[in-house]
Amino acid sequence: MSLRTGADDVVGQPGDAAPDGAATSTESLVSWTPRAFRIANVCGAAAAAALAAAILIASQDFAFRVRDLPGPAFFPVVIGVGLLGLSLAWLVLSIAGRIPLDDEVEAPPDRSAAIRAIASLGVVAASAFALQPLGYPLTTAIAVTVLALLARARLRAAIPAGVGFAVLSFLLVTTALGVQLPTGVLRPLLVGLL
Amino acid sequence: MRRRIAAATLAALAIPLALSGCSSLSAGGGDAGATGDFPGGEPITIVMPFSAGGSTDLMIRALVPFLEDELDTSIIVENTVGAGGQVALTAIAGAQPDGFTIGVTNLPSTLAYVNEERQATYDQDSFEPLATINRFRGIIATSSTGEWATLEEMVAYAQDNPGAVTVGVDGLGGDDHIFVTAFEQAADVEFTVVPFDDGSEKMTALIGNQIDLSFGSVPTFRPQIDSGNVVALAALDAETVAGLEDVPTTSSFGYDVQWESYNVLSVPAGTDEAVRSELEDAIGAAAAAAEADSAFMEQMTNGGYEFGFQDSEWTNDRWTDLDAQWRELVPVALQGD
Amino acid sequence: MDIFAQLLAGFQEVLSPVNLLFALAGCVLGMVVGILPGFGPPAAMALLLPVTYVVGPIPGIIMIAAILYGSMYGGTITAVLLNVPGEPSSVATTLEGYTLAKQGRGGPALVIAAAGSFVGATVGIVGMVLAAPLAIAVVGLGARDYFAIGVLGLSLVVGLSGRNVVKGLVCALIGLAIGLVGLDPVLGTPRFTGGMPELFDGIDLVAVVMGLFGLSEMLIGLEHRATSGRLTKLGRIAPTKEDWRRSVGPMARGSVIGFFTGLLPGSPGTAATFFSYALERRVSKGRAQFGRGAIEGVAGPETANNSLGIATMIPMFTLGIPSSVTMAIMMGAFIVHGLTPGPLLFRDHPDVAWAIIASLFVGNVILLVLNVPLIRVWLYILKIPYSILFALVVGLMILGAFLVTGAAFNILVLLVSGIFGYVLRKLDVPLAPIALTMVLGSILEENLVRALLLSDGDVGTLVGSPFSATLLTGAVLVLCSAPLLALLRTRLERRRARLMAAPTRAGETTSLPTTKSS
Repeated sequence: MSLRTGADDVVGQPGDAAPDGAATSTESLVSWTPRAFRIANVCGAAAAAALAAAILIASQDFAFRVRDLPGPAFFPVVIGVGLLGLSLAWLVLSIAGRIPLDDEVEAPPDRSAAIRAIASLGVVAASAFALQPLGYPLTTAIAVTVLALLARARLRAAIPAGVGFAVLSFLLVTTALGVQLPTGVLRPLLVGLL
Repeated sequence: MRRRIAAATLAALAIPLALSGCSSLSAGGGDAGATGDFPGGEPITIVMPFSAGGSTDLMIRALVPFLEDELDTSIIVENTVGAGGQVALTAIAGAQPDGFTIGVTNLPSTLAYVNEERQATYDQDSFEPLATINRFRGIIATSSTGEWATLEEMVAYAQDNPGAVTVGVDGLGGDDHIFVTAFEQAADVEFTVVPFDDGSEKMTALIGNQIDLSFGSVPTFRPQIDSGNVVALAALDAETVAGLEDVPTTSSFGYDVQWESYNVLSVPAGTDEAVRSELEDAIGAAAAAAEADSAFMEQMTNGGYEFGFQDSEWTNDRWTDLDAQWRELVPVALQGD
Repeated sequence: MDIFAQLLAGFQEVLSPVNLLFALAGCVLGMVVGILPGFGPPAAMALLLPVTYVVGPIPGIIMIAAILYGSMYGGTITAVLLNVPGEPSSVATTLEGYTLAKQGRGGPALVIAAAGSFVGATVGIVGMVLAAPLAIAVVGLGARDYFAIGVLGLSLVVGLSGRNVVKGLVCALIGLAIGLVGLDPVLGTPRFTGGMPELFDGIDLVAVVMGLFGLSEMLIGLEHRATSGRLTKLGRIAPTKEDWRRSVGPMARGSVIGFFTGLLPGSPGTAATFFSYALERRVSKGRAQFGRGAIEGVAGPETANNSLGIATMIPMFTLGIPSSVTMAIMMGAFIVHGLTPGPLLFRDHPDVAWAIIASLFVGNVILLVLNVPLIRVWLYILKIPYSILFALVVGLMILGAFLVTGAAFNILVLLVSGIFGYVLRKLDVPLAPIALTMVLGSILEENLVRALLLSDGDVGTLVGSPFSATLLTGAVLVLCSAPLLALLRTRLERRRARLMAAPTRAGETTSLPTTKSS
């Protein structure tokens, strides 16, 4: 059952858990350094400000007022201005180091987990494109197996999970719920089933 | 424990796999789509641009069993809701023209493509209509606690007070808005048009006298007319509507405005003519079988439908006429006052 | 009384074996639909519409209604145990529910949720029996009143933002911005759609919510070291006496909130759960515990959600106005049988009307009886090794996103929202405001424009009705009272912390994680 590598004994330093809450099993090893957290917040605030600017720029294409009433651009402009103001406030607070940082803040992404997370997202993206040509059962079986492997499952657990999930969910959705799912390359095999 | 999970998963796997193996054997050689005898047992999908439970959905779903008998295959109704039908219509226009995808291209709601703001990627030429199976009649409705009891009173008031009469529509440029515009021109009045994006909100506003008028098809108003919340000021038609014979027609007041809306079935342009005529005949036969079925016809009457088959040629002509009419009215409606 | 005689006759009708069977089938199917994110009740109900042609109106409609409220019970399970909400209205439940589950208190949370759902539904049904006149009064509310409801909803954001109000507000505005995508409600101009018709109706909220909350949660889980499952301890299932005691108030308040929100045909239903959450966070006895697993935060929203679900049926039953897609389908089921929902239904076919109302109660009893024993089974989800659970849940979300509209497009929406949620979590930005504001945007915009159209552009109209004036005043009060209350709360918290520090420290060791697995 070696799903994990290395020492796990540091799990859940209970130290500063809320007095009335129990320590959870999901504490992680690293936490933000104040400097890194500040930089991350500055980036986040800047991105929010950029989004606001983009909304404002894109709203130029629409009418602000139509027949003396708020037009299609009215709400986007209100939201864009509000977002711009607030993200600037966030920016200022971050630079000033006034953003609270305590144990309730999620830890920064750690390298190997981040790589696995990005790979998992890649699997989700790939499955979106594979669903029609490959069909639901095949795509899902592969996707779930790969996802399990990315989360460090063993092959002999990942394959049954992937294939089992694909088959069961396909059957549930197509028969019990009567919704058609793409069958793709397995169409000749599955068409009799429907 | 892990081994147990794996074993259970495997067991769960084996059964359905075995099943699917069997049934695919028994269905063997069902792949006859290209080789002539359409549809050859392959399932057909009807793409429905409206949500389940709506008036179009209810009638198509009621008709499907008859059509399945005629075509001797299974039919799946797929509700692809979105953007007033535009998502579904885009999908229908872009589907394989092999006859296995049939679209519900109601008129005139499909004509929203005329409005360039909507950035539709299809038009009349993207579809080959197969048949019209139902016609909706339309009325002008007002709240039973509203100010006017007759159309004349309302028109007189609207002529004296331009813009004072409010009418709710399902989004600007939507089908009812176009008929409102046609009526405004015919009666020489000017309404304030209030857009709603949800039919039930519009109905609530009508009953609660938040808006004065609403134009729409009979099934939409039927329950409210029956329960006395709403009254019909006029039938948007030349003849009176079945079940609402007391309601005068717009033609009788000299306004030549008719509400025309139809449930139309189409296939994507480019579908083989043999397949099309096969489908058209099947729909005709299914409609005839349905008409002979008293339970089906009772449902149609209850729902306020006027069920009846019209062939592809008739449908094509209506489409062409309405298309021309809309190209004229949509800009007027959107320009506003 | 006449009503009760008729209701009693209704119960007799429902308790026939056929009707019970259909109620049970609907409940089970509803729960399946609820657990499967993305495949909403409308799709399942539509699927069963043809069945009603065959079996007749009473069993058919009983089953269709059971799917609706059954799905609400089902939706709670993934929300509490996995932090994967299946729809925006489940988000409020995840906030405290998942925290409780992480502490090994998933059992009590689910039991309280089931009990709350039952209470909410019961209040909704009683309200339905008594409240026909209310429904008619509600029709008098106009665009400005709904605008005011939207504004009041917005004011809740402050309460949902936790300790970082600025980030919460940024998040709220991002939620509003998400709501902007699509055809604008006035002219139908496509905004921010990039010309894709898939986006004309806006970004699908179910896909966004799954990604933002669910997918990001699963990704974060990859980083944590507890790999033998979310929890190593299932904990006890029955709630403590203390849990029950603390849930009474939230359930009472939640059922009232849900009921009135459901009664209003154009109101943002999703907001009801947030209204309840925000209220409990302010007024309940356990408010200091919010954010760290307060049972009140499960009891209130769950009760509100189910009370809402039943109350949305009221406009359909009493006025014939379907206020949601699900109600439109139910109404369709009436109409194909020649039954007209509305006052006529009660006059001409009281047997049908009362049988269906009675079935709502019977169905909820069935659900309660089914659910409580099942909780034990659901909790075993947490025993699945995280690597497998991760893969299965992400697979389920891919399926769910696909089912939303039957197109792969929403899988990409899920993906993007997942990345977005992950980044926001890392930056300690509270996510809950997004789920609330993305449903409020269009309500605010539409009703503002509509109100101004109806008043010829006079802005004064917005406070012109007593209802809207009251709500807007309420919103202002909520906003102003926030800083004051926050101050009070920190004081109280400090005092409580001092008082409670000693006893809890001692009992804490039991919930420490064990890293060994068999």
